[in-house]
Amino acid sequence: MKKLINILTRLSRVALILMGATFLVSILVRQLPGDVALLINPVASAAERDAIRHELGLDRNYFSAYLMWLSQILRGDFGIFIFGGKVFPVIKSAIPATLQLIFYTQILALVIAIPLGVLSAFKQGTRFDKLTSTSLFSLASFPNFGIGLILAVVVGANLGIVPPSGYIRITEDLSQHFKLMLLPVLTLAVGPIATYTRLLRAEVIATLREDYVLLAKSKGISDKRILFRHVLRPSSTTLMTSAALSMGNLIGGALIIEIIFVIPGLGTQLAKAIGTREFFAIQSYVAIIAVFFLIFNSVVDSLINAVDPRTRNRRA
Amino acid sequence: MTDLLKLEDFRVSFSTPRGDLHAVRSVDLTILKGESVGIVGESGSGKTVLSRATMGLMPSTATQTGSAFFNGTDLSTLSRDDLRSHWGTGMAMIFQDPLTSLNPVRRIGSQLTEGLTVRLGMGREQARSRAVELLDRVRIPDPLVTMKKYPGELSGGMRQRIVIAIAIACTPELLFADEPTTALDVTVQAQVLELLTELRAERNMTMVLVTHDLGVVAGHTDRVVVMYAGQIVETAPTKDLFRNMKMPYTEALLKSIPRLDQPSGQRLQVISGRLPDPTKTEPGCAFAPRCTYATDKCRAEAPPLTTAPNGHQYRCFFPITGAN
Amino acid sequence: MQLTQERETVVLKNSLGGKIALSWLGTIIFCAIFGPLLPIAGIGQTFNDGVQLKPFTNCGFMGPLAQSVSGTSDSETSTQPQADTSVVDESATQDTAPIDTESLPGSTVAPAFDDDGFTEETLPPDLSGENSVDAEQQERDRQELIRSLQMSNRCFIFGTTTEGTDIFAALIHGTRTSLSISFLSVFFGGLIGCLLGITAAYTRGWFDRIVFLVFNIILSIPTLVLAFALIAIFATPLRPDDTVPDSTKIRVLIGSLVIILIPQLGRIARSAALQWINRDFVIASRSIGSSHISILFKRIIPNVLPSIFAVGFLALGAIIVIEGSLSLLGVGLNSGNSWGSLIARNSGDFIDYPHVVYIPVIVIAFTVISVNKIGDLIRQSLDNREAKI
Repeated sequence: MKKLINILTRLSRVALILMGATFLVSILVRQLPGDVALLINPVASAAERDAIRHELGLDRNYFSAYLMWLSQILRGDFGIFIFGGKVFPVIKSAIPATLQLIFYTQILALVIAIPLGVLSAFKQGTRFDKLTSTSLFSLASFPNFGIGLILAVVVGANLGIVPPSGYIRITEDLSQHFKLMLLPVLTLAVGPIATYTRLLRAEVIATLREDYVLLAKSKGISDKRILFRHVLRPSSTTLMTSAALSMGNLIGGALIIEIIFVIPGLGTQLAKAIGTREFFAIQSYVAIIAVFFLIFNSVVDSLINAVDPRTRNRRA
Repeated sequence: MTDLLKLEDFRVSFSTPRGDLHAVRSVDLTILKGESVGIVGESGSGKTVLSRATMGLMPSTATQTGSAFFNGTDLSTLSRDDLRSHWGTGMAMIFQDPLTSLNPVRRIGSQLTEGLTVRLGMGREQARSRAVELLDRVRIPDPLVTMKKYPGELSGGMRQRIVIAIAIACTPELLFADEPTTALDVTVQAQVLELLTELRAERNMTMVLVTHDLGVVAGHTDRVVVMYAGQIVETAPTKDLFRNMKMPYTEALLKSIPRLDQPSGQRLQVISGRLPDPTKTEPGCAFAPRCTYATDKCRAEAPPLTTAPNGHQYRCFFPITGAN
Repeated sequence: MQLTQERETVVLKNSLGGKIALSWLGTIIFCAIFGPLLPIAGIGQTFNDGVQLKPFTNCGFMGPLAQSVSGTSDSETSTQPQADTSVVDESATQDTAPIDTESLPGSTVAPAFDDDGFTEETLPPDLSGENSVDAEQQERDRQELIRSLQMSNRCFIFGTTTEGTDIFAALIHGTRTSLSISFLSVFFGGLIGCLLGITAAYTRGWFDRIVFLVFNIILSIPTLVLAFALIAIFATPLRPDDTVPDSTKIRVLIGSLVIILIPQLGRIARSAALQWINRDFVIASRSIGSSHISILFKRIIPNVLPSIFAVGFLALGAIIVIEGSLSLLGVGLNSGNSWGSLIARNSGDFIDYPHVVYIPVIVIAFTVISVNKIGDLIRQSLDNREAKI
């Protein structure tokens, strides 16, 4: 019962934040300069313009316009493009690309960062440790559009190892899909790899000082087993939290990476929508992005619970 | 009886920004098979470092010199992997604080069976039943339920029993118990010590009991080693030590224990002053600045370890005579 | 507090990385302040005529000038390769960069090679048939260019862009814009964020709840997405053909970044303040009846500020990168007046002339590394202080 109430309060908080975010965006998009009615029909008369505005809900105040949008969204209607067409199919086709980009990035970052972080903590102060942290620190300071451009040109165009840009659905051509995703994922992963390695290293160093590691050691267990069975899990709480929070940043980072590598994801669509002032579309895109962001956060929160019983006790 | 552990000119130091910190300065110590030895000293006297360094459990910032023979093999010459093969099965350790010495994110069962499966190569089922036996042996009620619990759900006394169970799981020959009762309630302390003594007798295990409490040592050891400032200052069979202590330091330690037979209202004696700076090496007896009997000779010259005919060793120019 | 600051400077001075970071930051701040006054910063001046100059042109140690001015060393065959490259240039510009290639505002084209610098660029390639006359003209222009470059005695250490801007000069010139955007937005974002965060933490109750909710709402929209939207909305011209002046864009840019930074920095200020509010000395000073204002200013703010500084430095770097990203996305500056816009403006030529992109990228990276390093060292010294308490 208590658990249920807990979940419900959490959900309502998420819903509140979502509504706030979308309301904020709905106010913002109304500030777009220019008359939408004129954009749709440049030769419309005053009456026609009013009719168009009424139809789009532009004559309403912010609040009722928002409610109108909200009720549409809840009915699964993501609105229309001003220049024709429904928004929903575009979202449906854009989401997989963005999600793939983010998930691959997250997986690659964790796969590289976890052993690197654990190892450099274990070899704390050695040349390996210093080299890793310095090079990751410097790499992560490069603007990721810079890394993207350089990778696209050097690895993609000049060396010709993988195609420099483009996107193919996973169902169409598996190997080509991954080849095309390699560079954008690599670019996007540089930042998270550095952050995760650093966080994990600090946590592992702290954990290695714990008595229970000494006890495990005194059982005669190998270093590898100690590091990955005894140390990694209690050290990964911060990493998980950071990974969850970086999901949002990744969506933001994906925006520019998608454009550089010509991936038809949400970022590309959003940029297009902002450029053409498709404000219903903008509103829906941002809502979708915020939903994903908040879902990631809650999922990771519960994941942390599963991994670390200490937090479970704390909450109980 | 044969030697199980033999330390020769054993030294441990740490490099710190203030210079080398000498935690253990030249210790020679022999522990016989089946013996129970107490190592006593204040905090900072080097007793914990001595026990951990003997096993080889020191961090990389520590430098160890001298040799430690375990069953005739010099541990200091072994590679990490060879050394590790002695841990758990040859030597094991119980740590001071049961609250921190169990992994908070792993279930008791998996922590207990790990040594059995990894070191002894047992199968899962065999290890499980063995673990239940062990828990039962250390008097954990409901072993099967406990196996599924996390350390956070158990009391301090229970956890220390589990730590003991983990330590004896692979039937080590030598068990280091590093202040095993300090963090526990007084009533639980007695139970845990009793358990350790029982287990030792039953498995013919050699035990080194590291403590700051002479009272703990009294009933549970055959021999006592008193350490001060990284050196052994007195060693004697337990009974002999209490009857006939030679070192003023040991006497001071004993006097600082509250006693029931003392008249009430009397102040507890404390050892005034502090341990000497471990980064410096001063001439003279290390205890001289705090010793009530110290003379100029004590301050100028370091006393050697003297051996009395009955094997009682002490490091003092002016040992306390029996009647004193 | 006095003690902490001392220790912080000690940490900064003791670390080699810290020294390098500080000197780099000092250099670019110097450039930001005096850059436009330096004789080298000839922004708005073009030095060639659609001809790319490689790095170290005319610097005296990288070979003769003529070779650096591409396609001019062999006058017989120069026409054909030149025509080819211009075709590649064009398609690249159109494909990968969503940037309008209009000329620099207020650019003064040098009289020696006045006319069709940019128009030729934007012409479709099928004019090559009647190129023979143009080619001769071009060749003459090129010779003229070499002569005038030699006369001007100017060294192009980083070469020029296709538009003919000296990259080194443009970088120095752009420092002022890039740094002021990032310093001003972090300053105001930090100021407002701290005020809100600390007050929220101190008063708790409904104010805290509202502030926290608003922070979370803003944080639930990814930084770049929000910045993109804000700038697109507030700095778009009424009609698509209009251009928004740089000054307006910079103002909108700073405003949007402030909005984004407020919750980021405010959240940190809030949690840091919460940590200190429950410390014994604050409770003690409350119990002896100190006023709220004096507790806030004497006890809380001095202790929260260092952590804000540490994060603020990281934010400085992040903002510089965001500024570049926005330019590249086509909503930020595109005049070449800031580091980011320099990259965005020239990213179309990247395949043929990589230095137009990688040099500014490296400059940005260096700056980001420096501010991150400084932020890092501040945090380290904070951790040391915490450990000592």
